[in-house]
Formats: sequence, structure tokens, C-alpha cells
Amino acid sequence: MKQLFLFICLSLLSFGTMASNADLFAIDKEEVSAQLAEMNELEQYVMQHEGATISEIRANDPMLVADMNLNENIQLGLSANSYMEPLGIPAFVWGFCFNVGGLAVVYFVTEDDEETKKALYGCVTSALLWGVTWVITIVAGAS
Amino acid sequence: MVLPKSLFGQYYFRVKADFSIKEKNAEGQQQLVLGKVYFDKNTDKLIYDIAFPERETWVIHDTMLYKFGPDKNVLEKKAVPNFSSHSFFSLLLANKLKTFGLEDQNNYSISDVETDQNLVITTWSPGAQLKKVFGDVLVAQRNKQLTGLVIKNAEGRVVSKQNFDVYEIVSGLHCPTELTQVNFISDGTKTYKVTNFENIVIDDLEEDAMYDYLLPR
Repeated sequence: MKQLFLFICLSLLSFGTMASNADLFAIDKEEVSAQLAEMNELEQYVMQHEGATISEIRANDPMLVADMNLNENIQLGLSANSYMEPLGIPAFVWGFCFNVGGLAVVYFVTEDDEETKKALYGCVTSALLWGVTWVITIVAGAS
Repeated sequence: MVLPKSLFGQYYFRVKADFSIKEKNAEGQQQLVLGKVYFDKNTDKLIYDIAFPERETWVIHDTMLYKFGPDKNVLEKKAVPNFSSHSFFSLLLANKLKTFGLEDQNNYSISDVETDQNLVITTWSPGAQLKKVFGDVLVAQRNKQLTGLVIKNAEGRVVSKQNFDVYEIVSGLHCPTELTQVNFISDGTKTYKVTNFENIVIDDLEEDAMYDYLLPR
């Protein structure tokens, strides 16, 4: 009987401490603030020195940012990973499968040199493979 | 008689604000971006006039991103996904931020609604074809305002949390002014991001040249 009572008490206790869905939304603001403390400090400096850019700070007040592990490559959530491939097909595959036509599609759709280069590599790889296959076929036919 | 939807509510078309983005990635790299943001629903242009770390202007229009230097010279032009109709600013102007625009997504539907700690929590689940890749999105509202967002992966693990704690009413629109985001990486590390908006102006009739930033052909 005592064991049953203890089991019920423990069950009620654990039920009471179970995380609810509302707790899922909780963010530890102190942790976030501590993690971004250096950026808050930098922001205050920029506010006080209106128009200051990172290169100007590096030139005039280098100690401020000397120990900061700064990423100066602006992202704004538009990283290279979000790059739009034509019809979702990678540029290399466009070049590899459709040769000059694929190269043209990548060039005109993306208007991006790096992606066009990938399509060109696909194009060249395809041509090389075709050439090797052709030579092997000729050699095999002659022997 | 069918009346146009715009007759039942205010039609907002422009928003401008000062923004600040502070970010730290899982590798410990930090970033601070300051500037002004402009969005015009009619021209479908989202403009980030960045003052820090360097002076640059980014214009997102259709599926293209243009980056301009201080002298308006084109620094870069590249294709990006066409997200302007689902962007934060578009949802804000359409007054759809409270559901994070999920009501317009054909691939997500409501699977649960509950009330917990003064929050109305709606669970949006992906359709069968997306279930292998994406998980549930939980949206929390307090007083019909979006206060939190939790994104889970296909295995049900929380990968991102966003809080919208502070609001300001501008021209009758409830505008969040502080967004805190924590992303949880599979290796146990986290990324942190705080975005602040100040001096929000709705339906500004000045600075037409910024809202309709001239783009190269």
C-alpha cells in the first residue's frame, strides 16, 4: 500500500514538472545577451561615431575590434547556400548533360560567373568522357 | 455583393525602419549589421541601405540580389530565391505576421491548437510529401500577436526558436521591434541572432527613389 502511495506521489510530482509546449518557446535572454556582449559594445561605439565603418575603426581604433572574431562578410540570411539553381539542377549537371545549351541556361538564368564556371566544367568533363569513350570504341573496333 | 478585400481593412504598402542585426554563429564568428531597410509591396523591392560594417546597398527584386557600393556602382548581382512575398516585411504589411504566413502555405496545415500559460499555440504540420524533410512549426500568440516560433526538424528535434517580445503600434499596425533567434545545430552548438527595428514608418510618401531603387538592365 505504501509503495502504491509513493508511486502515485512520484507520478504526480513528475507530471507537475513536465515541460509544457509553452516552455518550448522560452529563450534564455541572459545567455543571448552574454553571447552578443561584444556586438552590443561595438554597436554602442558605432552609434557614438556616426558613419563609422569597420575599416575606419580598424584604422582609427584598432584595439576595439582586435580581439573580436568578426565576420565582415555581410550575410542577411542570403548565403551562397540559398543560391537558386535553374530548375533546382546544379550548374555542373546542366553543363554535363546539356553541354553548350546547359551552359547557356545557367549563364542567362543565374547571371553568375561562379555558377557559369561550374556549368563549363560540366561541359568540359562531358566532352572529355565522350572523347575517351570514342577513342576506346575506335581502338576496340580496329583490334 | 462581393466587395474587394481592401475595403474591409487598411491596405499598407510601404515600410521603412532603422535596423540592427547582431549575430554569433556556431564557430564563434560574430557580426554586426546596421542600416535602414525599405520595402515597397507595389514595386516588390526590398532595400537594405547598410551603414555598417561597410556602406553598401542591397536590393532584392524578383529573383535577383543587387549589391551597390557607396557610389551606386554595382558590386555584385546574383540570383536568390524569390521570397519577397513571404518576407517578414511583406507579412507585416499584410497583417499576416501573427501566423507567420503559414496560412498561405499549401504545404502546411493546422494539426493542433492549445492554450497554455496565456499563449495560444498552433501547431502547423507539413504535408505528406514534405514530412520526410521538414517538421512541425509551432506558432505562439498572446493577445493575437505573434510572440514565438519554434521550428522542428523531421525527427521532431527543435532546430530554431524565435521570440517576438517587443511591439510598437505604428499607423495602426503592430510592429515587432525586437526579434531574438536561437538555432540549435545537430552537434549541440547554437547560433544567436538579435534583430532590432527603430523609427518604423508605414506608408511613407517620401524617399520614392529609395523604395523604387533604380536597377541596371
